[in-house]
Amino acid sequence: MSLPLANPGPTQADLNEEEIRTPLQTAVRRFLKNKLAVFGLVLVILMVIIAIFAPSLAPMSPYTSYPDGTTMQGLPLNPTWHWLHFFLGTDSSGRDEMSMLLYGTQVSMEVGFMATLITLLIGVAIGLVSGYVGGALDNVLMRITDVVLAFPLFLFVILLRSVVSHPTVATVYEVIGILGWAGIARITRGQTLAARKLEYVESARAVGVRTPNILVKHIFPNIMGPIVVYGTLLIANNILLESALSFLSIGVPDPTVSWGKMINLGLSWYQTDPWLIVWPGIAIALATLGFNLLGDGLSDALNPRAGQ
Amino acid sequence: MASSAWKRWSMSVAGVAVLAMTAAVSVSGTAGASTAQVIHFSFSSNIETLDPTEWTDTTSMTPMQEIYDTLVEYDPYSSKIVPGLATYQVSKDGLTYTFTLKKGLKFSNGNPVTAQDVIYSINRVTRGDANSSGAAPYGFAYADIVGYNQWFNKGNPPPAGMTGMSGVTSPAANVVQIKLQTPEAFFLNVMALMSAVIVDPSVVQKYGQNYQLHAIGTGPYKLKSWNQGHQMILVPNTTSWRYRKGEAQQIVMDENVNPDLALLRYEQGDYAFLLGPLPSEVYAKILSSATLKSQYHNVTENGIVYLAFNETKAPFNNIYMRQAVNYAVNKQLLIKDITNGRAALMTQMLPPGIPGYNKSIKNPFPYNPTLAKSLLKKAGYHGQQINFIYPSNTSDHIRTAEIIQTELKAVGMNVTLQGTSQVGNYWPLEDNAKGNWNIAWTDWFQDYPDAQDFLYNLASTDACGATNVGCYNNSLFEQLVTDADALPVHDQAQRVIDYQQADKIAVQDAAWVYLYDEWNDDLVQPWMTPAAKGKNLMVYLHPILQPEYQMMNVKSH
Amino acid sequence: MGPYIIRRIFWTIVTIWAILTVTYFIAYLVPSDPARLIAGQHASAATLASIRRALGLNRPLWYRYLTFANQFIHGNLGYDYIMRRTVSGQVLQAAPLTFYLALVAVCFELIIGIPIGIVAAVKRYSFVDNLLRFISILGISMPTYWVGSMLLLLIGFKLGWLPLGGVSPAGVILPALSVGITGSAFYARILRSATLETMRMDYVRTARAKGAKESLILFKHTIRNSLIPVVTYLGLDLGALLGGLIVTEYIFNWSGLGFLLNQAIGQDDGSLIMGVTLFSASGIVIMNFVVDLAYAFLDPRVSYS
Repeated sequence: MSLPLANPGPTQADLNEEEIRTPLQTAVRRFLKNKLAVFGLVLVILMVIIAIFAPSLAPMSPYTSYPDGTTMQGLPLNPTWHWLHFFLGTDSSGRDEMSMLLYGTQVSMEVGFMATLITLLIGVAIGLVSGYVGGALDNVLMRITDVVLAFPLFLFVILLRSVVSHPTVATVYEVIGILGWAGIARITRGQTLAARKLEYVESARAVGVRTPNILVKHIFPNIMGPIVVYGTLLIANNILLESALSFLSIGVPDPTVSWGKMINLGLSWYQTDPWLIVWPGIAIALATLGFNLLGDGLSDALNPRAGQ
Repeated sequence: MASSAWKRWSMSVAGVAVLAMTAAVSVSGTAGASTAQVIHFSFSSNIETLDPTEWTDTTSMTPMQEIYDTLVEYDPYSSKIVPGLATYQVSKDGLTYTFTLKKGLKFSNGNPVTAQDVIYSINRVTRGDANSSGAAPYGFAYADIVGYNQWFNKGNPPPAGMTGMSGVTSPAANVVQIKLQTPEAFFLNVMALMSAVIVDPSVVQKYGQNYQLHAIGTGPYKLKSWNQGHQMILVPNTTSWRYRKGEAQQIVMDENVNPDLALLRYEQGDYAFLLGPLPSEVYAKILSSATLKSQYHNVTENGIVYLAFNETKAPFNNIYMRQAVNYAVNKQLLIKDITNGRAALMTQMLPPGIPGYNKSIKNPFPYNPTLAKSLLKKAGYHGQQINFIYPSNTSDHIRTAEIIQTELKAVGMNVTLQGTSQVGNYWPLEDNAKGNWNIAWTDWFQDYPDAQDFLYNLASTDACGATNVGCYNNSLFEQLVTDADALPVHDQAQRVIDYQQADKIAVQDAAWVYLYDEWNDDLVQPWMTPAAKGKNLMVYLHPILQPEYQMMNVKSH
Repeated sequence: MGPYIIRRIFWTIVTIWAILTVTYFIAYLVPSDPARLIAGQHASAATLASIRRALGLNRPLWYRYLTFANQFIHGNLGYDYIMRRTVSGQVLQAAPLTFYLALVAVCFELIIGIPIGIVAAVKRYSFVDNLLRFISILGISMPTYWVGSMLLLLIGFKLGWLPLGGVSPAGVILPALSVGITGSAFYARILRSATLETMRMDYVRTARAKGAKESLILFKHTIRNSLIPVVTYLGLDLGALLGGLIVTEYIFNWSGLGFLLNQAIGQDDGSLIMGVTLFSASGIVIMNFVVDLAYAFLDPRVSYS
C-alpha cells in the first residue's frame, strides 16, 4: 500500500490574493476556491451518508443468498438495471451486488475513521509529550518511534491480524491503529517543539500556567492543522489498508460485507463476470479519492506556502 | 469522473506495456522443446512430497503414481486390484498374504528390487525413518500387521535391536509374507496406497531428509527436475517394467497455478488437462463455450461432503437437534449453488461407488424448515450460540457456510461462523483454541474403495477426535462395523450386509448432516487419447487413481 | 562521519532485534501444531507428545525464543513442517523474484511519474497541471490489487497481449505496472515541487538571463537537480513498495515473497509467516541503512549530528 503520507505538500499557490483576515477565514476561503477539494468534501459527505443510511438505501439484504439470485446452474446474474431486483447483478452466492456495495461503505468508513482515531490518539500523545517535555524522555520516545517507523506497516498488520483467531471489525481497526502511530508522533513532536518556542507559550510558562493547560490550550491549537491534514490522508490510507486485508481474506470476518472481500470473491470470475471486480473497485477508489482530495485541499488551505 | 481518468491511464499504460513487452520477448525466446510429446498441466497447490512416509494428498499422488509402484495396484481401466510388482496369494483365514516379486524388476538407478527392499519400505512407512519420532501420516493403515505395536512403540524410537515388524518376513528369495493380527478384507487396498510404494533403501539412506528431491522408483517415469513450489518435470524411465514405447517424452507439472489462469493456458493449448474438481468460475466458462463443453468429462466419485456435529457436548448430543439441522438445510440448493448441479444428493455415510452403499435409503431428510422448528422445540433449544467451523480457504466453502448459516438462522438457531484455514479437515476436540465448535464442515475422499475407509475411519470411537471429528458414537453401529472390518476378504457378501445395516443406523441417528457426494470433472484436450481402447474415460477420471498419464498418447497438435 | 555510521549501525541492529522479537512473539500465537502436521490426522495423543518432545516444543517459551534468535543470527529461519522444507530455503528462493519485480516496478514508477511531474511543473497552475494532479491523486486512491485485477482483465484477458500470471520474462510487466501506476503519483508530485523549487534557484535564473534555451535550462539545470529528492524517496519507498507487491504477487501468481506470505497465511503456517515477515522487514531496514549511508557519502549537505 502506498502511503500518501510522504506527500510533498500542497502545490496550489495563490499568494496574490492574501488579504487581512483571520487565519481560519482565509483557510475556508482558500478551501472553497479549490474545486477539487470541494469535490473531495462532497464525496466524503456522500460516503458518510451512505454508510449511515445503508440499511435504508439498500434495495435488498446484502447477506442473503437469494434463490433467484443465480442462474439455473447457480452462476452469477448480469446487472438488471432494475433498482429493486439485482440492480448491478449478483455475486456467485446470489447476493445483490448493489446492496453489498452500499453496506460495504459502513466497514470502510468505520475502519477508516476508527483506525485513524486510534493512531492519532497514540501518536499525538507521544509526540506532544516528547516534544514538550524534551530531554531524556524525548530521546527514549523518539528512538522507539524510529524503530516502530522502520517496521513495514502492512507486513506487521498482516502478521498481527493473522494470529487473531476470532476477529471482529474492531480487530481490524485496532491492529491498523496500534501499529501506525509512529509517523504522526514524529510530526506532532516537530510541531510541538516549534510551538513551544512561540512567545506567548513561553510567557504562559513563565507565569506558571500548569503544563496540561499549556498543552491543551496553547500548544494543541497550534499543531491542529497538520494533524487534521495528516488524519484525513490517513483515513484514505486506512480504507485502502482494510480493503487490502479483506482482499487477502484476513480483513473483517464473515458475514460482514467489505469491498476488498467482494473483489477477492470476484477475482476468479473476471473471465465471465468482470463487473464483480469493477463495482467494488470503483467504490474503493471513490471513497479514497474523496479523503485524499479533501486532505490535499485542507493542506493547501491551512498552509499555503508548503510545497513552494 | 473516474472513468475519463481511467481511460487516460489505461491508454498510457497500454503504450508502456507494448514497449516493455517487445523488449521482454526479444530477450526471452520461449523454451524451444517440441510440444508434441509433452504432457503439460498444472495444480492449484503444491506438490507436497515424493516421500511415501509423508504422503497424504492427491496432488502428490500424480507424480508418485508415475515414479513408483506398489506390490498390487488398481487397474487403470477398472477399479479392480491387480498384481503390480508382485503376484499375491491370501490364506483361507485371511491372515497371511504372500507376495511374489516379478522377475527382473529394477529401480531407475539400475539397482534390482529385492524382498529386503519391500520389507524395508513397509517397515519405514509405518513409523517414518527408524530413528525419527515415529510419524508417517499413513502409518496407521498398517497397524494390523503382526508386530506393529512393538515396532511403532507409541511413537518413541523402536526398542534397541529391532529392525522391523515381526509379521513381515521373506521366507524365500523374491517372496514377502505379511501376517495380520486380524483378517482385513481391505488389506490389499492398503497395499495399493501411495504410502506402500517400494523405495530403494540405499537412496533413502543416502539423502535422508532430502530424499524426496532424489526420489527413485520402479515406475514408467523418473524425476528429472523439481523446482519445489514451481515445476516438476518427469521423463521416461526406460528400464521400468511398465515402460511403454509410445509414452510422452516429458510430463511437466506446474504448481500453484490459479484455476482461472490454468483455464486460459488450457485454451491456448499449453495445458493438456485441466484437472478437477473444477471450480464454479471455470465451469461457468465451460458452459459458455461449445468447444470447452465438448472436452468436458465428469464422474461421481467416492468423495463426500458433510457436516459433523460435536457430539461430546450439548446441544448436539441430542438427536432432535441433529435431526433439526438435517431438515433445516436445503441440500438441493447447496448442490445447485455450490457445485452448479455437479454433485449427487448424499443419502448416507457411504457414497454409491462403495460396496455396502444402501440403495434403500433415499433422501432421509428432505428440506423441511417447519419440521426443523418443531424438532428444536422438542429438544428444548432456546437460542444457545452454535459455533459453525469451516475452512475459509475457498469462496465455495465460505459460501456454503453462509448459506447454511442463513438456513439455520431461519429456523431460529443462533449460528456464528468461524472460518479457519486448516490443513486437512480435522477439527481437534482436545485443542482448546479450536475445540469450541458445535458443527464442522467436513469432507472425505476415499483412500481406497472399501466401506471400512468411511465407516470405521469417520465414525468409529477409535477415530474419535481425529477423523471421527465430532465423536459420533453408537455401540450397535460400532459392533457392525468392527465385525465387518475383521471378516476375511472371502466374506465380502456378509461384509456388505453389515455395512448396509450400519449405514442405516447412522442415518437414523442423524449422525451427520448428509450434504452431497462429489463429482470429479476434467477438461481434456482432444489430442490426448488413451493408449488402449475401451473404457477410455477411466484413464482420465479414475475413481481411485489420478489420471494415468503413462497410458495416454499425445497426438501432434 | 565515523560516529554517525556507528550510530546508524547500532540502531539498525536494535531495529532488527525489535522486529525479530515482535515477530516471534506474534507468530507464536498462530494456532498451528507442528506435531500434528508431521503425524497427520490419525495420530494419537501419545505420538503427538513424543514428537513435541523431539522438536523441543515442550521447552519454555524464553528458551525457544533464544534458540530461534540464535538460529536467526546464523541465517537459519527454522523448519517449515507444513511445506516440509526449510523456511530459509523457501524465502531465498522467492526473494530474487520479488526483488526483480520490485526493480521493474520502480522503473515503471519512474517512467510514469517523472514525465508527469515535469509536465506539471512546466505547465504549473494551468488546467493541465490540475488535471495531472487529479490523476495523481486518483492513482494513489486506487487499490494496487484492483489496478492489477483491471490490467489482468483488460490487457491480459480482453486484449491478450501479456501473460495473465506466472513467472516469465513478459509476466513481470503487468504486476510491475500495477504497482508502478499507483506508486508513480508520489514521484510525480515530489518531482513537481522539487522542479518548481529549483526553477527559482539563482543559477537557473542566471542561465535564463543569459538567454539559454528554455529546453536546455529545463533538462540541463533544473531536472537534474530536482531528481535528488526522488532518489531519496526511492529508499523510503521500500516498505510501501513491498506492501503493494504482496497483493500484486497474489493476483499474478508471481511466486515471490508476497505470494509465499499469502500461501503461508492460507495454511496458518506460523513458521513461514514469521520467516517471510522477518526476512522482508530486516531486508527493508538494511536497505534503508544502505541508502542512508550512500546518501551521506554522496550528499555533503547531510548533517551527521
